[in-house]
Amino acid sequence: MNNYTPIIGLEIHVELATKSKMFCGCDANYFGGKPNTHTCPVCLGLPGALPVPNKKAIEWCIRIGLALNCEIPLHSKFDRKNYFYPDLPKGYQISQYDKPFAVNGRLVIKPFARGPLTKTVRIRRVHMEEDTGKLIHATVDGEKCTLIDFNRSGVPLVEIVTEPDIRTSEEARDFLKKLHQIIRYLGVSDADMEKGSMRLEPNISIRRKSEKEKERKGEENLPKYKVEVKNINSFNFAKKAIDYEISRHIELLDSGETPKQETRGWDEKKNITYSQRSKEEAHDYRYFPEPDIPPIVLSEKEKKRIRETIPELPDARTERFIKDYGLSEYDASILIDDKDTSEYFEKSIQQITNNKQQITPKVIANWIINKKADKSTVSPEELIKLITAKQQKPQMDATDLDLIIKKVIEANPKAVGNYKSGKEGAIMYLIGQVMRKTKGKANASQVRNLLTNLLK
Amino acid sequence: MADINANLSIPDVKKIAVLANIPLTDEEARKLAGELTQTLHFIEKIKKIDTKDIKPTSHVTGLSNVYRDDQISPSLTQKEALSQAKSTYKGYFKVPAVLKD
Ligand SMILES: [Zn+2]
Repeated sequence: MNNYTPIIGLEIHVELATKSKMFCGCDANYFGGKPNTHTCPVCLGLPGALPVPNKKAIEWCIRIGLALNCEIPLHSKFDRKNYFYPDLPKGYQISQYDKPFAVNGRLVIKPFARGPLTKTVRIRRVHMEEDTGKLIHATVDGEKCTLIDFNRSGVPLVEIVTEPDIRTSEEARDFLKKLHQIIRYLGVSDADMEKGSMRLEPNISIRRKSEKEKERKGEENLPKYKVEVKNINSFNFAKKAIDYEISRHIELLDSGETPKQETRGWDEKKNITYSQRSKEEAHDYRYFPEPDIPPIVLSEKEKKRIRETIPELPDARTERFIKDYGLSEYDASILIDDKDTSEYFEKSIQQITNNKQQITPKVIANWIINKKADKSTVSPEELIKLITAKQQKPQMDATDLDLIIKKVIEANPKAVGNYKSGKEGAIMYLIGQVMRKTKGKANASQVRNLLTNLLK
Repeated sequence: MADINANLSIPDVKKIAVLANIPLTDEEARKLAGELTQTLHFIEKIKKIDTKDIKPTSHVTGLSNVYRDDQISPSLTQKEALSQAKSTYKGYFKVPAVLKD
């Protein structure tokens, strides 16, 4: 490992949460639907059907590009990517080739392992395309066959491609987590990995360290091969697949072989990657401009308007939480991890200012972080009430309480006698005396326990 | 391949046929090699036209920004969707297996 530097790039597909599909009015929310019930001539690729792009999907794609600090070219267009596979009814996918909606971006991550250091990963491009149908490999009447459901066909899909700037599997995971967070904050996709609305494809190669000198001189000195691992649906699987590939390549290189340039799959049960036998034929997609969709020309005004739809993003929110609420960086980063949680925290804070209570943001943060209340059932208002109630009855210092109880026992020999002779009710009088002396600060059941112990 | 003097070879034609998913007999491939070579030569001729002052374009309609709003319109029923298919099974389109073994 020490003799090699991993060179890792990422491709991420994100399904947008628009109401309708990319080029037709079919319902894009296909999840759980009966097969082939969300289709029309456009998304079935029937002859003569005309695709018309979904304006919102294009805006959301540009929103993602802007959030990833990309340049947004004013001129853009769609292209046809030609290949034959049964999940692609037209024989081509409408995608973008040389004029994507966003280019040359970057995302700064703070890899845990690097302490306070940050790492910049360049974003090569963000483009818009359409999803494919879903294939099921089955056996019908004793014969192997493939079944197709086109409900997913034509659902808006955004592809994000990084430069090969990533050097460890941890960095890759940190990058993916951060990207996922941003997509969620942008509100353009549920980015649910289990449902497949966010899919990860790392590409990996490794380079001998001696060649590093050239990299310092600014030469893009990439290995001559690259292995792509397709369709991974969890951050941890992505990390494991990268680790697996790195050690596989090292083994091959150490024995004098060069890893084969290929596409591999991830076997999540065996924790290994496997070769996806592809045809010897190199991919030749013969991209050409989509003749059915006129080009897209943006104005500066339009760009500005889309930029203004970008909400506060995780990094900015973390900083604000630290600055405005005096939270630690750790607490702030946990709260902002999930958009809903961070909003719940702020709504709870607003409840305090309204009610003029003496509860600090730190206390609220602790309640939320330690999950003392379930935010799905407890409203921010109720949370503040719970915290207030708890604060009004704090547990007393044990030695103070002990002292008060002993004094009450001394001062009430009659009640003590009654209790000892079997009149259990007398304990209530003693508890009452203790509660009065502590001005209600003590917890009644705690007082009862201490009293009964002392009177044994 | 686009050299004006070069003729398209039969392996070239066969490769294009594979990409286009069109089965060709040897005779068809030979015939097409000649015809496609002619087409290439014609394109070479067009390339000689002076286009120095003409802006490149991918469209001839002069249109741009043709969009639709994000609204759902009714889809076909499952029965309608499958009605043109050669083979179906339980609401799915059915095709020969893409994964062998
Ligand atoms: Zn449709």
